[in-house]
Amino acid sequence: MKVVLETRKLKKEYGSKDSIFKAIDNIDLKVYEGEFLGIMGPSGAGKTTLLNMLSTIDKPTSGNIYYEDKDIGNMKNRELSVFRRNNIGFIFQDFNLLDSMSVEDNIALPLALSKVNSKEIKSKVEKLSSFFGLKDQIKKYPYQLSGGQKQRVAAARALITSPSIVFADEPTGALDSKSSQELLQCLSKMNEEFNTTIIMVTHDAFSASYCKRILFIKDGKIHTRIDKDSSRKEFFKRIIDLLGSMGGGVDELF
Amino acid sequence: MNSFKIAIVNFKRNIKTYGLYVMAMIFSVATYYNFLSMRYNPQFLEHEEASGYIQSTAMSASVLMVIFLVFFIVYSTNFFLNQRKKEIGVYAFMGIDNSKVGFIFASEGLLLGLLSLIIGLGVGILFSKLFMMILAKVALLNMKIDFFISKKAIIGTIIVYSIILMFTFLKGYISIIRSNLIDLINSLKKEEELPKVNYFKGIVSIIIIGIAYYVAINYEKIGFGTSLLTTILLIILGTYWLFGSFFSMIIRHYINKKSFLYKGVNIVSFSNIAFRIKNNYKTLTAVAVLITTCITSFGTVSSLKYYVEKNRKIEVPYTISYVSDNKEQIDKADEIIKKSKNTIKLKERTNFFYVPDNEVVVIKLSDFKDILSGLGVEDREDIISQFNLSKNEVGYIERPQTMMSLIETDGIKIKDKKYDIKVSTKVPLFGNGLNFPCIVVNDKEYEILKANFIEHQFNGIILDNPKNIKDLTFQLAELLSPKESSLYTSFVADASFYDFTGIIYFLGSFLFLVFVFGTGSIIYFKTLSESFRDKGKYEILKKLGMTDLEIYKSVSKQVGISFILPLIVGSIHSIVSILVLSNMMKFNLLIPTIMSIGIFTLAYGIFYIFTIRKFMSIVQQ
Repeated sequence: MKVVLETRKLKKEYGSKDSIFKAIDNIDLKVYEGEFLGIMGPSGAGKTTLLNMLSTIDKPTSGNIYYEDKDIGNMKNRELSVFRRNNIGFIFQDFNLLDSMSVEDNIALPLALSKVNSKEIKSKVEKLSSFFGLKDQIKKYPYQLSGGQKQRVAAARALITSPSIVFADEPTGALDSKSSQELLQCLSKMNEEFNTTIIMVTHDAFSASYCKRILFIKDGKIHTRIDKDSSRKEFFKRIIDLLGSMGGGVDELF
Repeated sequence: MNSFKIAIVNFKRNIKTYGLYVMAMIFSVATYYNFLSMRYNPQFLEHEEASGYIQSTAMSASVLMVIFLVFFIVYSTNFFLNQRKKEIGVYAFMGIDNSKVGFIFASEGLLLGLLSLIIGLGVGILFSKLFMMILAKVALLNMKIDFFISKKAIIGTIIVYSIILMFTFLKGYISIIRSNLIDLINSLKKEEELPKVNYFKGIVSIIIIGIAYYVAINYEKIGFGTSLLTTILLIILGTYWLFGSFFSMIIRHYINKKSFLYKGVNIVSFSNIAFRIKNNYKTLTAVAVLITTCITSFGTVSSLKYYVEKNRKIEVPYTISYVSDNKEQIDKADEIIKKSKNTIKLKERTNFFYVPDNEVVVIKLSDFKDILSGLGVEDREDIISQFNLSKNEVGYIERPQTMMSLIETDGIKIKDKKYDIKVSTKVPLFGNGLNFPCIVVNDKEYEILKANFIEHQFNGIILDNPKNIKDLTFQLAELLSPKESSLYTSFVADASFYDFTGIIYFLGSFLFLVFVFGTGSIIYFKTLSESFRDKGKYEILKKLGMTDLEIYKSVSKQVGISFILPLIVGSIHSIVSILVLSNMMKFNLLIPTIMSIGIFTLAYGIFYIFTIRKFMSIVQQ
């Protein structure tokens, strides 16, 4: 299988010489095409820091990140921005939609910035909005939508550039359980139908159970990884057990 | 910590934010002080002729300025208070009662004002000598200016500013006392919504402005006073709706036109503008009206200046002119001129007669044509072609010194006979030597009329590079009794001429600067408040992969449109009003108009650049 993203000896440190805090400590990671990878761990384990570095928003203290053998550590700021726009999709906990734009414009945004032909953009927007069940919402503005709808708009926006990876940072964090379930089903469908690679950070075992593989992080290191080999229900149980053994995780849940 | 101390702490912390406001205030105080102090300047008072003009011009300039200041200070203070509702809410939340919170925040504005007042007075006094010297120079007053501190002007400035500041203090204080905690907190959470477009108002706004222009241009039919008032009211209403609805319509159109919107940063900047226009249109209207006032008033004063320069050719077309029919006298005068070693470029002799009832002089058409070509008047062919006079028609040439005429007559009665005025214009003819309106009649008609009046001869001489005009004037004055012969020479013109328009121009320019400063500050503050709201948006966009250059482009567009819309609207309004002025003065004012708009745009452009830089620094923090 093709490796989409790879890290070697990835490190992130905060603070000055006297009190160095290692947020991420020597992480080696390989993500394959079409994967749906979950990253879990207790609060402060370094999940979001890892995601930010992987998604090029933050820079590592040392170590390398390769996108299909391309080292993004060498890229300049401007290059990085364009790279991010064309190759990476984002879904954030708080949606991060632009409230001054209609749903269709929000979805079209990344392509519009890249000056893709407007007809092409329109047809893509149409396709994605029907995929995410947003057909009737297309002319509305974010303030007129429910949380679940907003997050689906964000997912559509993330997909419009046909990115090599979509990063989702606690995408269900601000949603009620029904909307969460809908969104997670969407992500699964997206992963299966378009073969989109997804990396999702979550501390919610239910959300994580939709992933194909889960990475557990503790104190900036990879603690364990588990693969889904049975039904989602069973996978969910295994996750709960593991969180329990890691300590802290279950308390966070209930 | 008592409330006054809190006010001082807040004041210290915010002084940087209010930098521009303080600067605008200091500048206005300094200018206002100088406007006042020139009325008390001992050297100016000595100059009898000029001091009257200076007094009245300075007076009206300072009144205009007070009106502007009230608007500017009230607007800015209000704006600052609205910006800080959150903070006010926090204080109120902590259980401090409204009157104390009101005192804390209102006194901040007061402190700011007092600080600017003190510094402004210092600056004003420091530069007062320079100010007066420049004034004397532009007014062509030949006098020495000493350094002078006017106590009366200091007291006057302090009084005016104290009243305005106290008024705003009370206004702010009362508005805070009356506000509810719930409103303060909700004002933060208030989600922006896409404004609804009112197509009716949008279309009507254009019609209203059209009517306003029509009324302004046809001031003769409607009456000047009515026309002026109607125009002002209609323009303000029309502009208000124009920004409120018409521009929303236009921008909405572009938002829906995806081939335009999906082209780079347009999607970001235009969406922001469409969303904001509802919050902004009042400010945009105020700015557009201010720009109109600014350009129109500056355009008017520079038109006056321009007019005086150009009008000199009309007022003094000859080096020497006099009226005499005495052959002997004329020969002697010629001899005197010959002796003065000057070369004569043109000698014009024309017959005319004076009509005492109408206080006009009358000449015949053929002579009129000769004079125009003799003086080498530009576009004389055009003018002459209009003077195709029949028996009952006459042409009307304005008195050389008339600046503008508000009443238009279409007929004149000479010796019981009625004539229609076919054309009315202003061209060089006799100059100030014969300071009357001139009626041009058909040659045949002239011969008929002549019998009823006494005919005179006008003698006009143009010298090539005139020398010793002073001596020549005195010699001629001995020969011809100046009163009877209306002797007028370029020496007389220079001596009696001091440029009162220079004074108006100078004070007008200062007023203009104060206005520009104020207008620029208002739009600057408004844009900054937007930048705080947009900060989050640009953070998201950055995460999504918008480059710094793209952010810069988008910001420039977004800010640029809120700068340029009022500029365009204001410029068009002022072009129309100067057009009316030019019609009244019978003078083409194209050049001063373009100059005024150009200068304003330049100054405004500087504010634009500063605003973008500040906007970027806030967005990228």
